[in-house]
Amino acid sequence: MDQTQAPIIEPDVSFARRIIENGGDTLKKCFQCGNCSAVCNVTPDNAPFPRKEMIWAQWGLKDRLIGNADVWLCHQCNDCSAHCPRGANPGDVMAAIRNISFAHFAPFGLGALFTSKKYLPLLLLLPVVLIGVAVSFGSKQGFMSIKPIVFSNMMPVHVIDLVFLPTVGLAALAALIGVSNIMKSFKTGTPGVTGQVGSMFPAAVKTVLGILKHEKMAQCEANAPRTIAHQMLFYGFFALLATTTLVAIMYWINKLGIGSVSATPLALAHPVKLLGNAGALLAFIGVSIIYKRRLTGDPKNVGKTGYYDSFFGTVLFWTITTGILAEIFRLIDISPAAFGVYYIHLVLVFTLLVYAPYSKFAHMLYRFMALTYSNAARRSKERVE
Amino acid sequence: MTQEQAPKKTGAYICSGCGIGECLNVDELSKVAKDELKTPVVKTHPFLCGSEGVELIKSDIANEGVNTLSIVACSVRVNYDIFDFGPEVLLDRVDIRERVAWCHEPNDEETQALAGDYIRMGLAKIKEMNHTSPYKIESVSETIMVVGGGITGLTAALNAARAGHKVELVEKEARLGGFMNNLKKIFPQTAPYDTVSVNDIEDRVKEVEDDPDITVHLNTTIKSISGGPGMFDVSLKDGSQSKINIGAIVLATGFKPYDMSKLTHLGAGLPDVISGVDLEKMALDEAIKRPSDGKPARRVVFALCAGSRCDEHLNYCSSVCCSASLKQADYIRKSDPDASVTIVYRDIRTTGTTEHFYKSIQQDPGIFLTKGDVDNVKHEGDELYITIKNTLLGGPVTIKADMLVLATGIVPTAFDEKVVATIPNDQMQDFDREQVGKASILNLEYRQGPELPDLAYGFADSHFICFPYETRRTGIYSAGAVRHPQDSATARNDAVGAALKAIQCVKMVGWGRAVHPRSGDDSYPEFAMERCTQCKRCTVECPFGAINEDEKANPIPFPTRCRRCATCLGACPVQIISFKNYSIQMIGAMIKSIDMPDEFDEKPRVLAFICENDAMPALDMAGINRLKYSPVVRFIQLRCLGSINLQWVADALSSGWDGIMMIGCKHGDDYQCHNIKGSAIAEERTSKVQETLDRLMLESDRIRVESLAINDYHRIPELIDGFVEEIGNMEPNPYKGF
Repeated sequence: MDQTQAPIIEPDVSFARRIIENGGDTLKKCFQCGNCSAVCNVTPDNAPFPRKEMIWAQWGLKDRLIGNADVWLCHQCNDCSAHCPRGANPGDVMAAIRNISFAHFAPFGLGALFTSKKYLPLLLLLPVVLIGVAVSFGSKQGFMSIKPIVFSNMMPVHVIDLVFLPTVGLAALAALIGVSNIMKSFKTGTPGVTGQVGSMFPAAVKTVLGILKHEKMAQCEANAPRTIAHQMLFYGFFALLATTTLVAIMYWINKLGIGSVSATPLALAHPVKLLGNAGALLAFIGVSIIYKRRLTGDPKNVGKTGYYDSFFGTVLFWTITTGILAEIFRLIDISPAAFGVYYIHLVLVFTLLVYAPYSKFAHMLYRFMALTYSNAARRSKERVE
Repeated sequence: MTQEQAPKKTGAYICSGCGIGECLNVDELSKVAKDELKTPVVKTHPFLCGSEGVELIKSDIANEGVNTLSIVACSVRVNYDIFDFGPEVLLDRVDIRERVAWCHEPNDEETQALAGDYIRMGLAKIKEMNHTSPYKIESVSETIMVVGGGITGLTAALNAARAGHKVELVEKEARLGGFMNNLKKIFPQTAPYDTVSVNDIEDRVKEVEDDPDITVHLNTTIKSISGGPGMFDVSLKDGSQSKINIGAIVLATGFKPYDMSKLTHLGAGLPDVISGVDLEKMALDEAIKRPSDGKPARRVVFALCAGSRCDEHLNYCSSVCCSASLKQADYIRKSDPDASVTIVYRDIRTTGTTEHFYKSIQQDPGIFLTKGDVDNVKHEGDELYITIKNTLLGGPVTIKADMLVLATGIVPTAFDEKVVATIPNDQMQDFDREQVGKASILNLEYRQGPELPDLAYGFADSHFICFPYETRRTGIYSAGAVRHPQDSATARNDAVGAALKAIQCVKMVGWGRAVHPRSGDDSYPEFAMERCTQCKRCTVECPFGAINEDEKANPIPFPTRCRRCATCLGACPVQIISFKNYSIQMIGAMIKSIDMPDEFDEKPRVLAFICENDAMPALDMAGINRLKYSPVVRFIQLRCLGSINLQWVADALSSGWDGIMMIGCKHGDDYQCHNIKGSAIAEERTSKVQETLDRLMLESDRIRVESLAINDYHRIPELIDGFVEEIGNMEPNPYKGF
């Protein structure tokens, strides 16, 4: 057997340590029995995860882990961790590899800023200042005392757009680069892919349908209650995103004189308002359940909560909560509270959206890509069954 | 016992309790004993094991002069303490509860006939039984000799001495301590068993040296051992050629590492490829360095199961190499935190508490483990390139290393591969497997060879489940790695066990009793030498080498070596061997005693010889579980199926029995026979008789040998009924009525 058949590998302690530090501290307990792969409901049958990832992680084989689509096919059901006879928690190790991947694939060399809470003040300072400056220049004189409360008196829509459109645009670019990086890696780094990878578009449609149904996550057992919560959050989030988009469109229709539609604040019975409030409520319930489970659930089932989880989870929770609170304070007509909370809400929205490619929010993109790639490569359970 | 026994006055006591009375007509049974067999005293009682029943018997012993008892009640395996009337009374138990009332149709003609026959057989048996008298030797040595001064030998010696025995400790080398003298650290010895322990072998050595009851013989081997338990004469090969008198022996000679030079497929012979033992010495003496250039070994690979668990080398798991390699990996990592250690294993086998050590070593991020087989080793530049296949890493891989450590297995010192090497392969089968490849250690002057027999690989054979330390030589107990691959903690336990068995042996010999498996039995075989034909069957077949031969091939029995299995009795073609309470005549009388229906009755009769160790308890279990089977079978329990004498087969056939079963223990490499190969011997003897049957125009299928374990009791109905059906399909035995 020569070295083409048996490539030289060098165990890398430092990368193994990085996984341990990023949430995979149980990694070394694995003794390769394979229970994890046997109980996993979402792994393909061919070269199943997470057993192989566990030994690669123990050996610090970075090249085999970063860019392996299987790492993203994992939905952290934690069935593996719940059934692990050695307490090696493969679910946490897979999450740790994903955490390292966020920083690895994000462009412009900014990934490191999101790995530790010591950079958090810096990250928050940017939207605080940016939105503060925007408010101080764009707000109407004495907006606090104008009744009824109208948020655009503090932050006119064109100012919001001025702040958010370029930054979100940059974030979108970063996300695109990240996605393109990870796709390149998937093509060389995913085990178990043999033969031609099929066309991506039908694969993506299949993925979207699957995500809408949450069909992978629905197979989770140990972390089963999360599925419905995530689904609420998912639909709530997209309802809110749609609301924001519709409001912006309506604003520009009025502004550009294309037509005349309702202006903000919309009446509570307005269909767009109804969509927004329903979305907010749904997202709030979903995120609250997930948040509570993370705080109080058995870590074997819900997974270990690391910095990536708490950053994303906290920002998401408070973005939704401040959004709801701002609306409530507006309706009960308490100006300082309403405007104060709205300001915090804007800062958090910025943090959530603009930093998305660097935070756990990017799982939306990377997992989507991994599922799509896997579908295209016909690397799925259905094919075998 | 030399005094004349008083004439027998037999009393038969029939119990009707436990459902016996509901199933059988006890009065009719009573008539069998009383009227048909003229037994002087016959009584029935509804609750014989109650105080009233026992008093009844005691009163007859005291007042009626009854001195021979046939207790017709339950199995001999129960109530033996209640039916104990002292050594002056000859006692036999006839089981009509488990074997009759509990497993056959109540109030049925055949069931009644069965019980009647058991009474006939029981009374015939006790007529031929005699009181035993223990075999005592003049002066019993209670000194324990321990062979080997390693951890096992030291522990055995200390324990025997603490129990009050003199110990002679024989060590071949110039220093005590054995293999453990080479160890830097030892496996974890205390909870939580996650870190290596200090090697305290020097303390053990000092304890032995300071013990006034232990005599240490260094630079000494054994020239010869003659005699038997309680009276071994041991000649030592030392400066003074001394002779010592020994009671029992603990063999604790340990192991030697497998010869690494044979492992060229794993890189043996290349620079910087060493064995685990080499590494241990390196760690003990100095820093761990590459032998080739003395540079530090920063990347070390361990290949586990090196030359183990394969057909070409050692076929077994040595059980310590995995833990030893983990320990050595720890040495390397502790001495150089930047070093990396890769361990390639087939399965990590960390036995007992060393599993905790494995878990702790696993935690070290600098230790990389994978399942796999080393496929190829190359030395290029100053590096080793080690290719590993069958990994879990997803295909074969190559690893660069500074040093490769081969974790070689252990070979018992009792095995000498050089001896085997001198025998051409095609001649191997001609050699006595039990004595091939034996290192010269004990040099027993036994007819069956100078060393301990083994089943495989040179480890002294022992009954793995029931009697782990007993070898096939009574009074010689093996312990430690010469018995079974093991670590020092296990070896210490082994040593205590073997020392206790040795002590038990010398005590039992002093009382003239068997040590095991018939513990406490004070019968022994006696040879009517005037009729001996010097055929050597007994000396060949004795599973324990208890019988030597003189120049004229006369047997010389050594009763203290004997385990009372009676294999010799079964072997003897001229029936000169007997025990006071177990003889050819006794079983023969039982066979001939029954009320044999004539050939027109269409009532076949089947005789079943059963082993007392497994088949008999299984039969009891069948009764307890109320399993129903054919009532045409009568059972006779034997000490061992190896004691079956063909005379009994002849007796049975000439008495008109239609079929004969022999139910013994599993034999072969994983035998369960307490006497090694009793059932195998029975099968062998039977095969010969079957040829004769064919010549006599009697169907050889009339005889069948079966094996049955105690937990197989549920098979009894199928086994019995199947055979009875076949017998029913044959013509009746033509010798019926002759």
